[in-house]
Amino acid sequence: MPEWLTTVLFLLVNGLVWGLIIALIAVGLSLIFGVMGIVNMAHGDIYMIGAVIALTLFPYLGNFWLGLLIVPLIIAAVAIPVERLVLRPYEGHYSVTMIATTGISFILQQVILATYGGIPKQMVNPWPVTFNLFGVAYEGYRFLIAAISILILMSLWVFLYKTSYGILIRASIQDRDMASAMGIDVSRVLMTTFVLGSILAAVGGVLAAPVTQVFYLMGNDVVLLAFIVVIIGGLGSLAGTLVAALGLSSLEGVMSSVLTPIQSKAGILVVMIIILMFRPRGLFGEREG
Amino acid sequence: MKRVTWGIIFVVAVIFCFITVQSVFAQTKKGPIKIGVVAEKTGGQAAYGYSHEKTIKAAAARINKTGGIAGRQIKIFVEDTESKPPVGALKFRKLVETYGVDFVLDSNNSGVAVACAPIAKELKTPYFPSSSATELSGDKGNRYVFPSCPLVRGEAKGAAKYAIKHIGKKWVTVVANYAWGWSCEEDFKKYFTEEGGTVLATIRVPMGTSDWLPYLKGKIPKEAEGVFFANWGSDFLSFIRDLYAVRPDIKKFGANYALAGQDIKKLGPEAEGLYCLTPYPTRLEGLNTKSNIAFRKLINIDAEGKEGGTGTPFVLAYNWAMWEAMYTLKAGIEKSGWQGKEDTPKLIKALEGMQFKESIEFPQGDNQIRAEDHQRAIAGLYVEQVVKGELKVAGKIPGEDMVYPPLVDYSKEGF
Amino acid sequence: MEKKPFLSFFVLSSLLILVLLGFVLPSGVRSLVIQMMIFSIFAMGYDFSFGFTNQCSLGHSIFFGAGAYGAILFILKFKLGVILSLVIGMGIGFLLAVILGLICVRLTEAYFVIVTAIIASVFHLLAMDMTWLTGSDDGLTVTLPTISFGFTELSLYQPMVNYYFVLFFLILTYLVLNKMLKAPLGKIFVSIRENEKRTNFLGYNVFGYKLIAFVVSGVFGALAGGLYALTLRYASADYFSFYWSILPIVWCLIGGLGTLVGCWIGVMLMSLFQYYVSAWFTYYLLVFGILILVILGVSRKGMLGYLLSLRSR
Repeated sequence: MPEWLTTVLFLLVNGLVWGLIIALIAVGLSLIFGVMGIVNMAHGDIYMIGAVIALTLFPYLGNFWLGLLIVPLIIAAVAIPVERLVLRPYEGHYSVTMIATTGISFILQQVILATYGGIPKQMVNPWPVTFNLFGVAYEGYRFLIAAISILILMSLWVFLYKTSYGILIRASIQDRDMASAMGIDVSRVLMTTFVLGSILAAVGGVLAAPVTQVFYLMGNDVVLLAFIVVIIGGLGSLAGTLVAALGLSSLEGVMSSVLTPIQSKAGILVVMIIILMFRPRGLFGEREG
Repeated sequence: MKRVTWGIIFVVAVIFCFITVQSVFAQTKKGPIKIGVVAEKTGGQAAYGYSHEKTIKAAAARINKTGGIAGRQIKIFVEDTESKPPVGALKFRKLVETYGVDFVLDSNNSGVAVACAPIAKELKTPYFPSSSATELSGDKGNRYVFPSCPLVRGEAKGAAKYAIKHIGKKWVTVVANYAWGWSCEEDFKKYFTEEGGTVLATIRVPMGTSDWLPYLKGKIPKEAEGVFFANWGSDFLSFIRDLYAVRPDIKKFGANYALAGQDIKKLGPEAEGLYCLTPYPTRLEGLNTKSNIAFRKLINIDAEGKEGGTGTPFVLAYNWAMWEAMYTLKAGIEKSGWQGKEDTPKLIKALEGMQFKESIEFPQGDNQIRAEDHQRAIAGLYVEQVVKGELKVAGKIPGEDMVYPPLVDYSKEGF
Repeated sequence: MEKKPFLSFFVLSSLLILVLLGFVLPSGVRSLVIQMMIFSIFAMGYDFSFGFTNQCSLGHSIFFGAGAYGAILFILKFKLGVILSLVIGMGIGFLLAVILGLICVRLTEAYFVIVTAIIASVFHLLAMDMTWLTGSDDGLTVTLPTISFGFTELSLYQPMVNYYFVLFFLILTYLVLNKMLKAPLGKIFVSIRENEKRTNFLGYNVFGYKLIAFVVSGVFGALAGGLYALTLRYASADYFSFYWSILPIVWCLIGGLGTLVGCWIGVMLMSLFQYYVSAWFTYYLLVFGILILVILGVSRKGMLGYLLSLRSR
């Protein structure tokens, strides 16, 4: 195979792996956005906290996988009171939630800076196996991330589309007032959604920790990409988010084989604007934003 | 409603009175010599600011214990640049205008240093940055600016000479995609080519990139023997990990900073054999002199370069330059008889061309300030190498290899 | 309306104080106040869009940076005068605002917020990349020429001149924006803010009015950016960063949305906060985050808005 072809294929596969992590985070963001009307600027910081907790607990637990199970519990414990006490009054008012979550973002970042410090740290690779992928000694762990992400997304799909509770959540995305009028305990749905969305982001952080550097500002890039994905995919559409995440990551990966990185990022933006021109609600957008 | 408005105005007036009194008080009081520090306490370079602040304060404490400068005690004022140039510039002004400092030290961030340089001239305050931006001894500097550490051009020149002699002839460069990275890339390429080598490809990667595979895969020609890289912090970690996946055999040579603050033991096989430029060896055994032992003890770092007490790797890239800057100032003030702002031109003239000997005040080695561009000609650079998970000094680059003709002549500049 | 006399009183007394302060302030405080005045211009422009037509843009750093670079580049490369460069900076801001507005204004609230943020971040990336133009993160420093008025020459390097130069633009901005809001235009804005659908049904071109609000706020954002760059004699790619997009929102929210001048309080609080608290508490952003939450908890309309609403009870 000619060199350029292996490069392109490699970048495609690599892009898909990253796309799955972004998908996890973006789906969480989309849920929070769609069901609760919260523009969660702190979503990237939840991802960061997931990674930081995993890194901090690792010496005590000795096992990466245990961390993966414990982090969601910790996040849930924190997310519930935050949603109930801080964010509840603003839900539905996008601009206000954006500012409130920016405040939360500052708090989270500074707390981590003050305690964990400003130096990026590396997490040990829990599965140090490599496979030869198109001439690169590709970390087996990255395939594992992909597999776990797919597993989580599939479970999520089952939850949202096959269980009664999941249907309640989707109903709330479509029309909250109607759902409330039909006797659904909206308060519980809101709380569950926020916890679910946050857990997805945090788990994304834990999974990403061994392949990226854990640092108090690591959420900023991720949140940007997540928002782009949610916009392009369309608010309230999980399928759209997934397609957009995978598509964009692969596209950016392939583009950077010929363009410079900045040009690739700008290219993604152009794609976004074009899509918005033709479909102002994103590819699969359902809800009135 | 008038009452509320008056209330607000009253509160504002009180606040302003407070600020006014504080700054007027700060300016009329004579006595201690006030030195300001614009450090990166938060933001991407927080670890550097921490190291520099600690080192400067240690120097001040030692000077004060032995009688101060010309009999006057030193008072240090530290402000946070947040690793952002506009904030740094603002804090520089604040230090001079509100606190009335006579001199300003630090910022490792080239953007901050470049932004503060003209302000130093405007406010007639000598400035000693710890940034290595070549332009600070060039078109972005001025007569009030004294860059305290080796600059990129000099480092790249020395590195190029060493690289072609000891490592290989065909190279690739990989740099962080901002001004410092570009400087490293351009200067290395220029001098390396002059020495007879070839740079086959130049790769630029944005800061904060966690996945470098798209930038490296398929971009490094098979004939490339070595890669000269300029990145640090989390970028460095991602870089060596992904480079190892693509080209495990290639030799790596890093510009200054790459290993600063890193825990060598945790780097793994991807760092094995890696070379890194540094003006100051991380481990004591690299520079086992009496002065250095004493210096390290005073700033409380152990033989491995870790902070005493916490065990965290201490950033040693340029903090020594801040230590030396404090003593440079002391020497300059005492030589010129500086007493206040009016004497600053005398002080500057005294510093231009001043020479310093290796001592506890100047642990890095002999050095001097070049009169034309205020550049610090230092004793040379070290090339550290990761050997079996430990940092060893593989070689030295003599000071003469770093010298290049000055880009400006400040002695023609007025005050 | 009871609101008006209070606000006018507030504005007049504040401006009077500012005029007087210019003569007595020591230099450190003066620099701070100049900065506050520049930010107030930025904030007023932002309130014009957010407070009066509910368009919460997260991309105003584009205008701030464009105004800054417009002013600096035209002095640096084309050797134009200070005021002309400032005006050109505003012109660039205007063009960008029109283009951006055409893309974004028609989007629904949530999309608008996010898309403006994304576009701003790409501008930031481009600014960081195009060193030849922007000097990237290291930025561009400039030596300012003097401003000649025929009978006299003024140099911005004189702190007093700098102070009154900025104050002049602050007053100008207030007068222009206030005039626009008092005109029928302003009433339509309020109507759009209260009920966009109904305004639409009444036959008004809502999109057009929203676009005007957005463009005007962009122009004044550029003015603020230009003044900031002139005062610091420096522009950097950092001016396009997200931080500058968030700040106006915080100012307006703390001070009072939809009051045009309430944001002055927000600017003052935030600037004092950053100036002083950051000296003795490194992690002042933490306190700031808590402050945001507390203020939002008390009233979504910000402090001045809260006071006003107390009044009308």
